[in-house]
Amino acid sequence: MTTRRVTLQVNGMSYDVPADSDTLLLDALRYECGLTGAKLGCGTGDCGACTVTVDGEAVNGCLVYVLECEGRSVETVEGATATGVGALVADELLKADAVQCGFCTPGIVMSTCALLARTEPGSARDSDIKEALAGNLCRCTGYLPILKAVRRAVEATR
Amino acid sequence: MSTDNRDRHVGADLIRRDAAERLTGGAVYTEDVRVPELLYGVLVPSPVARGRLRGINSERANAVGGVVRVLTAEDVTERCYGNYVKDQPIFARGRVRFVGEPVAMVAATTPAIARRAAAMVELDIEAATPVVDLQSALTSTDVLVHDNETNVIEDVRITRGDVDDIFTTAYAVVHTEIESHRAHQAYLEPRAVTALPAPGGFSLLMSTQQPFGVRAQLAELFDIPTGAIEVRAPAVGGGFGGKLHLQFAPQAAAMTLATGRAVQVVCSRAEDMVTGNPRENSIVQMSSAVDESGRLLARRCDVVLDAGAYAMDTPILTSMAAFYATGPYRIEALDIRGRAVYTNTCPTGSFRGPTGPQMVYAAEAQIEDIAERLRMDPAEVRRRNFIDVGDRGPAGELITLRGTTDECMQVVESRLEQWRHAEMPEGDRRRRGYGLACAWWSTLGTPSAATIELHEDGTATLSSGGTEIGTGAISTALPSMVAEELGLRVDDVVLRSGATGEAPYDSGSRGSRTMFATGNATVLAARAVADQITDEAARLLEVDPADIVLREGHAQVKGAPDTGLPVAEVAASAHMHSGPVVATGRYRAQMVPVDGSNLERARFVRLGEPTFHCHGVEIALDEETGRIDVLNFIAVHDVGRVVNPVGARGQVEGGVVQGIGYALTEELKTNDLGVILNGNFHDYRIPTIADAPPNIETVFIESNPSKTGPYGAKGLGEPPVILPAAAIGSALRSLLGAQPYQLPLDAARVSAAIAVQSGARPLDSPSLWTAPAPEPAEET
Repeated sequence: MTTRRVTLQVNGMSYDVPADSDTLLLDALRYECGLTGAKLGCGTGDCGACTVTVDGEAVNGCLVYVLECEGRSVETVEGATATGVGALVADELLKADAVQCGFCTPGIVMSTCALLARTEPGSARDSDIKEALAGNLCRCTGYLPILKAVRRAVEATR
Repeated sequence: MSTDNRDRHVGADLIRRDAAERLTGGAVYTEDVRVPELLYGVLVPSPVARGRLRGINSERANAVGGVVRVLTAEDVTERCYGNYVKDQPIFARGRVRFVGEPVAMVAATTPAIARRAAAMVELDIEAATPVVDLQSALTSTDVLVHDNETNVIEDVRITRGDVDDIFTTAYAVVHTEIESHRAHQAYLEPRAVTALPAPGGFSLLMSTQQPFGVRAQLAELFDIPTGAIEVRAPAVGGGFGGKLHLQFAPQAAAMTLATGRAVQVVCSRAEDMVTGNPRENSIVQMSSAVDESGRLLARRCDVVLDAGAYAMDTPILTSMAAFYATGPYRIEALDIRGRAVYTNTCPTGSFRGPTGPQMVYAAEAQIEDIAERLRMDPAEVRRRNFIDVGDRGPAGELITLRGTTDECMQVVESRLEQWRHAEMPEGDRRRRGYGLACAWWSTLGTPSAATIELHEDGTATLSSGGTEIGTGAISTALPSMVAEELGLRVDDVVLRSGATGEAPYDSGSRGSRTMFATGNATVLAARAVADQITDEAARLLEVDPADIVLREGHAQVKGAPDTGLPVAEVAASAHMHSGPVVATGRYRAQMVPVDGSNLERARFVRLGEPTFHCHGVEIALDEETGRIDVLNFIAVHDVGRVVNPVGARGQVEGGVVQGIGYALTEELKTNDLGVILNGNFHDYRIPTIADAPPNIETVFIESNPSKTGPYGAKGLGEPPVILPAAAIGSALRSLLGAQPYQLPLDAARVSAAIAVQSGARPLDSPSLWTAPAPEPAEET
């Protein structure tokens, strides 16, 4: 296997990372960039704890290769919550008590950010929210406070 | 000291103090820990459920560049570990007993190398036919999982009164039988541990619910003084009972001791799900003798739990199952037997509300089977039997709190009535069913300690042995209690917890005890600190200590708020006069007298302080597919005074959805060879946001506070998960006239039940329903 080095754009910064053909985006973020906000929950794309956005679209970091991300813009929870919509989403989740163990939380934040980015401000309905978050498992909350927080975030962006 | 400064924090919705760092990705979980020279450990699992381990060849694995060490049973102590029965080796020695059992571990410089090398370790195993089925294991004397005479490892009996006589003479005897399945805790963070070398021992960063328990067991296993081991829980990504055990700490610690280097073991989801400790599958047979009015006169119950290949904490769960066989009902005569049985399957163990879901399903199905026999309203049967203050519980313990199950049930009944009369949406062909279930549970009274020091700047440090696992009980509720008692701002209370090196003992986040027991220890410590500061302030102000109140960061004289001194000043003064302002609170629940029951081989003598519960549900049944959807849910709980309402609601809603998952979709399946068929999140389906009911109403009955819990609080963590399956079963019964013998109530099982009932398919099993069906009259 030949290891290449590629430049990853993450949270607006450039990272020079080694990449084999099978290096996962999640591993590069966690091990090379030191960004551990995205979590490895299942490794099969079922739980969504590793959700990040690539060019604004939510993806499972455990299913995407680094080589697919060259030249694209990756955002993680660390970058997303530093400003703007991500900070708003985080604040609503906090206020709704939607964070318990917190392991799924970064993925919830990122899926919500992607939803808000692709829908008209204030337009996302419950069915849109459920569809956007159906790939993010949470074992602690029973989802109701998450739903409530995301509704409020949608409302706040109107 | 006066108490009139209370109630500014306790009883208010609290913002979680650890949420912000979790929202921004800053919280450090075990898998996020990076230390220099870290090695990554990967386990080599047994591919077969039963066999003789003839040899291990690690030559190829050792030759891989980056591999530092391969460990097997040869390299580690022969001592075994286990909570009650020391039956589990660090690595399989001579025999393998379940698929996934660790046989060796590879440590390498990267996770990828370790995984590749682990796959190259060659195992020479002479496979034998395993015993996988619970009923077969119970009776088998030729296929034995361990070198015992039988596979039965626990046999508990509770007896009281002349059950035989009552059964002979009673108006009716009703029999109910159920069989329950395995369910995995499915916390989002897979199990993980990092072992670090330390002088004379090691320290662990570990995703655990009970660092002190882990430390004690490891000290014994490795024959190292307790104090030479430190166990620290970083942020824990959920536990639900699945992280009470040693997990892979023995293997990680053994590797650190062998290499002198830090070793991290992070389970893949697949490894996590096949190595333990799911909720046990079980068989519950229950009979009651009743009189004409529906009063329960006597009960027989036989519970058999599948322990899997190693006992873990199943022995104590067996006692729990026996104690919970009465449900929240007064039954004078009892003959209850609980047994646990080894099988060649992944070991089972605690899962939030251990044995609760199946015992409640059985006990509530029994009530409904009785009601059907007597042609009575099941709610009326319940009402005539609810246990109350002055009655005696299963161990013969006097019930000293009012029983409020009836109050809880009334709230549920009125809501079910509303739902029944609500309009159905146009075009929805699904049938609506309504059901409820009642239960009691209890709060574990195991020990806890906390130390509080008030500093010269007027801030306080709380060192609690408690471990935050996501409920907020430790991170958020405890500091609010300190603030409450000492009249401080909650931001002036710094918490240190989750590490054996930083706080005194606590027995772990489990048993619905966390806020109850750690809260009691914290309040005791806080009140002792308050006494110290009050005494010093009284001396400085030249007043009687009884006239001092602590509020808003000041020690004030009652009725003269202007005269107060900042507590900072008082603390500084105390340093010079009486000593540091510091105290430790230690707590252990007192036992109330037990009288009248015979307990044989029980692991404890009685349940803790009781809590009372009722859940109600509206379901939609699609008769073509057998799919059940939960449309509305109401959860009514008497857990005493609620310390943090928003956090408590989160416990209920999360527990209800877990309970619905258990009832409808979750089943960890093991085939005849002992292989788990769905050890991943694709095939093992926990509820998603799209599956969760649109409405979960949470109601707390707060009129019945605990006499012993902090501010009147009782335990809440487990009860919400134990009732939903029984409530949904009852709702299904309202549609089908009977409820299935087996859980879960997934689409396949329900559609099969509908087919039999409609005559489309013959009954091919005598045990389709909880009670023998009227037609055909099979005896079970």
